[in-house]
Amino acid sequence: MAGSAVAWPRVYEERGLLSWLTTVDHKRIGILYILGAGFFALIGGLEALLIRTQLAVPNNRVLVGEAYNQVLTMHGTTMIFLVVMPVLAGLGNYVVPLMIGARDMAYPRLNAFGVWMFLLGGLFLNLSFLLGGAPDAGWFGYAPLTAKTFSKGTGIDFWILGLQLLGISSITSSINFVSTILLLRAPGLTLNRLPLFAWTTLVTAFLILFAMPSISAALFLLFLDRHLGTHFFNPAAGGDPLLWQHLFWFFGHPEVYIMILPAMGIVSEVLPVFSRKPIFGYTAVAYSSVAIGFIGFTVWAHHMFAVGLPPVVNAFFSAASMLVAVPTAIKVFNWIATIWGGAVRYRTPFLFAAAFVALFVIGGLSGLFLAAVPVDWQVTDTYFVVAHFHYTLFGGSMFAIVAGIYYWFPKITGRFLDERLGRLHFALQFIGFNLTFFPMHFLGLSGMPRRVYTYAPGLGWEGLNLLATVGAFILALGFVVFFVNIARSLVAGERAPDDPWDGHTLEWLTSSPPPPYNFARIPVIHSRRPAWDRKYTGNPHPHPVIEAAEGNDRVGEVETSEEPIHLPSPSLWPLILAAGLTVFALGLVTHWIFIPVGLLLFALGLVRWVQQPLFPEAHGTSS
Amino acid sequence: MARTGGAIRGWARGGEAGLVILSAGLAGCSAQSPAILAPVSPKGRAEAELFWFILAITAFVFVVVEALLLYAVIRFRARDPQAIPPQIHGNRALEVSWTTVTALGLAVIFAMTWRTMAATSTPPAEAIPVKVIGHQWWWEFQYPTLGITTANELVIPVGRPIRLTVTAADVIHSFWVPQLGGKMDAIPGRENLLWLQADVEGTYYGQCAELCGASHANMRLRVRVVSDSEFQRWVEAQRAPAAQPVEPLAQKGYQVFMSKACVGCHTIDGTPARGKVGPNLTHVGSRTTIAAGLLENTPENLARWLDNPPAVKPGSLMPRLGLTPEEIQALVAYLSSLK
Amino acid sequence: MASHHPTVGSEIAVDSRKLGVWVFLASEVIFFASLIVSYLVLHNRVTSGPTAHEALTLTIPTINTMILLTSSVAMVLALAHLRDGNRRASIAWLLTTAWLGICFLILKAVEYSQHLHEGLTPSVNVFGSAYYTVTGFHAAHVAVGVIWILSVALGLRRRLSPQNDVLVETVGLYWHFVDLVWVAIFMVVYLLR
Repeated sequence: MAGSAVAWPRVYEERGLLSWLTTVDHKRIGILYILGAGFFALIGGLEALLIRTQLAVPNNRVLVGEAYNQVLTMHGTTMIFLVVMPVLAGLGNYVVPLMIGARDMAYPRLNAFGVWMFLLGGLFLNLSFLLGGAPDAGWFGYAPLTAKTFSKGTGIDFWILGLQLLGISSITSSINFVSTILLLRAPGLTLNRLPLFAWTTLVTAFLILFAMPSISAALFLLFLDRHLGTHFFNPAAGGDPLLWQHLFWFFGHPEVYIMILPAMGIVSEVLPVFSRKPIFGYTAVAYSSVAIGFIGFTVWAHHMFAVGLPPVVNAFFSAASMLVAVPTAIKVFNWIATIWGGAVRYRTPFLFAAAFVALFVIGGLSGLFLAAVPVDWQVTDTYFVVAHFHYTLFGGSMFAIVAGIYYWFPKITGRFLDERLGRLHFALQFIGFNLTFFPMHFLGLSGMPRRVYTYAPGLGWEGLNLLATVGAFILALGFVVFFVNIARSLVAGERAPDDPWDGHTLEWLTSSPPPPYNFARIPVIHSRRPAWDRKYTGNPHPHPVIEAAEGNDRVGEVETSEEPIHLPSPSLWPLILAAGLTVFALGLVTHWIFIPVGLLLFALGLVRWVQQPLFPEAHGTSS
Repeated sequence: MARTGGAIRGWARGGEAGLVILSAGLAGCSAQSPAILAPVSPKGRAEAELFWFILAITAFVFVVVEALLLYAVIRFRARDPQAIPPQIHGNRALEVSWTTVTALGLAVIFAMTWRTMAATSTPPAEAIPVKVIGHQWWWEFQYPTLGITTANELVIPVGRPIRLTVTAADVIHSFWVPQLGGKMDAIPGRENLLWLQADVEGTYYGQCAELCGASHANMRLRVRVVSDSEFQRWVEAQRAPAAQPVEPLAQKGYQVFMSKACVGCHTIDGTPARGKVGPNLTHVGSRTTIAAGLLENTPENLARWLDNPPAVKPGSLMPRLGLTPEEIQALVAYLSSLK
Repeated sequence: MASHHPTVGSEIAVDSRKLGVWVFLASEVIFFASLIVSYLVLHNRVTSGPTAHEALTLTIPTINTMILLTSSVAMVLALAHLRDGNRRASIAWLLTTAWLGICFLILKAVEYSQHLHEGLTPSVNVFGSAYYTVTGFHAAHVAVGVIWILSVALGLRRRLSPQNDVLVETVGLYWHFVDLVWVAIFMVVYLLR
């Protein structure tokens, strides 16, 4: 049944560096995204601890002036572009094709290109620390602070080019997700039966496609201002610093939904499984993601309430920003209703997912204050905002990401993460997180602005800052426990079956880890919860049926569609192409010699990629 | 093992509630915070009132939602590992209800927001105009109708509206005095309108609220709110040219000032010093702070500043001038005399 | 792996490469929209140096518009011939399209050199900055399109495979898009000056 019917390039079973460098398998690419994000999370976390150490007491001298500004800029840029976005892309890459019954993403080599572009782009950005200084104008880089006059070094150029490289990665990854989810679903898997994590991945892909070009254009204009003497953001010559802000925030606001929607999708997968019920109000939850996506494009100027736009403009953006709370609230109520009346199991994924709901609600509510223009005039650019976005992006996205990792780790590795370490991790992270960020609401209300490397004593800010610093170290300890858990479990974790959690969706119907071709036979889908239904619907003995893996045929009892298995060949050219672009960028900031070298690598990679057939039998053309 | 998870969560929840109280206590502990919720201006009060209104609603929502969540998590803990609960897919009536209630609540918040915006947007007619120019890293204040140029300390009469035109000379800054109301960005090439009015005499702390470079954290200001009569006295004194130094050390300081690079950046009315790069120092002796609200205006601090400005304010455009201690003492005496 | 054939269960029967190009073009719309909006906001905020009214003439841009529109027709013909099985005619029309694209670029270069001669540079004022940027990015897209068309034509010459018409269709989509962007630029930059 197994081996002889399936033919795929033997090289998929290889280990070793080259097999990873040439992989086009969505599962390996997903792992690369997650590992890369983990690495950058260590850097970003270290930057956070440096910030908190400096702010622990007033007039501290650990990190001052430009150095502090570099660390704060890199902390934000790293966490957003090198941690949250890639880890969600990684989980999406690994899980979504499995969830929809596909063998891989629509464009496997483009997929590989995306992950290499991310890894190299992230390295490029961090190289700035060693080559003249990291960018120091904040993750939002307002003009004219970023003009050559006020930022003379190459830091800002590293920032501009690094973000362009990362943007290319995100856009290619999004094109892949759209085509994959729209075109490669298993027979019977209508959009109405699409798992919610796939729904949010789809909406997020569209957000990226429509938001990133705006920042890309802005970054080009800034680069031209800095190096070709153009005047886009130079007020002395008719340019407009506000043009930067509009272009940036037109991207910047959808960006935060890009970071939260897939996380919400994870929660919509985890809560039903651990409550042993379906998601409450599937349609509302699915469409609310779409609504959040749409409305998210109409609120950008709520980051600009204090720049002096006409009151009626401010009022419009205020109303739109409050409107987005409606689909968000719908999700929250649906999640609670999912747990309600269930048979809840307190496993680690559930703890983090439930905490997500609790913490995200706080973040969402603090957002309402920011949407109310007159209140925003007081709290914007203060620690109140820092509290708000950490509650939504950390209490929200990061908690959900951790939930997703505990949830899918058994599928990816074939082993469980340790449950006791998981609880310890949860306790440290929950307590540490709240201790760090809740006081910041009060710091903002007490008048402490953002992005300051120190503050005066005697203003009442000392106690809360110290508390936040203590919390940050507890939080860091939680992450240490997490990484220890991962390391130990990879080697000696308890073995996991195909379906360790009594799951609902398709990925639990194949082995842990899955074979390279995912499913021996693509199943035909009849409902939103194919795995659950197989176990319980029509089954006279309603007990969980979690069988040990037996051979490669996981879907023997289910109607399947006949289809020959083709797997694409591994390829080095995506890596070469990504390297070419990175070297080219390096040439623009350091020595010009890298420019032709980069272009040559780029051309080589492109030509060879196009020439190489996608499948080993030269089946069809390139992709 | 599975039981401890719930215990941890319950404990953590209780801990969070305690944290709220603790934080509030710590914040309220210090009466000298430039707190948004301790306004002394009509605008500040309107903004604070809107804050309390929204807080009332959001606190209620917080309590209800978190309680429902906590209850669901605890109450529906699986007792029998094999049990399968009723597979409920949704409830149309319930979903429509909570969506409607949410939308209504938000509409109410927006209505109050709109009301507050309308009530605070127009400055009263007889406001005193002041031009605010943000520089890296200090504030310039011009009173065009009074012929005064000063820096870092804004003196205004109590109970009178002030109409600020806010702009910047280099990068974007943000003018913010929390107790007097919301902030307004200072953007080069653009003039933004902000009006404020202080109803209680005193000195209020302000700070730049937009990342503007290495010493963004050090770009602070004070607003001194004084009685009408004292304001008149202040205006008269500010209009007068710089005091002639009387005592010998101050005279020496005058000589040092005029012979060194100081004159290239600073203005002292009635002297050859006409520089426009740095703050106007004509009446620097009368200010309560120096270095843009960073240090108390004392001889020790002045000396420390004059000795090594970049050490006090990283990135400072005022360089280390290599002054001898004697020169510094003389300058301190001279500058302190410029009341 | 079914990347080139619609999956049995999928409701949307589109070749994945065409969908990919459509999706990519959607993001390019936003990119050019950002540049065009920037142009609109800034182009008449000049304090010194040439203005749009002074510097821009309509001759070359009008010819270029004709050239690009004609090239889109050539592209359509290339696809039609391929569908009819006439590979050689298809290649000829592809080469025609590419050649017209090259003509566009040559005329653009002539126009740029005229401007530079008259003192309109990217750094002279904000109009110069915006003008060169928006037209420059478009010209770069035309150049990429020309290279893409030539490589497709080369590929057609080499092998005969059933995937051919998708290849030509995808480059055609891109080319028509670039043409449409030019029409928008022509209207916003040249006609509204």
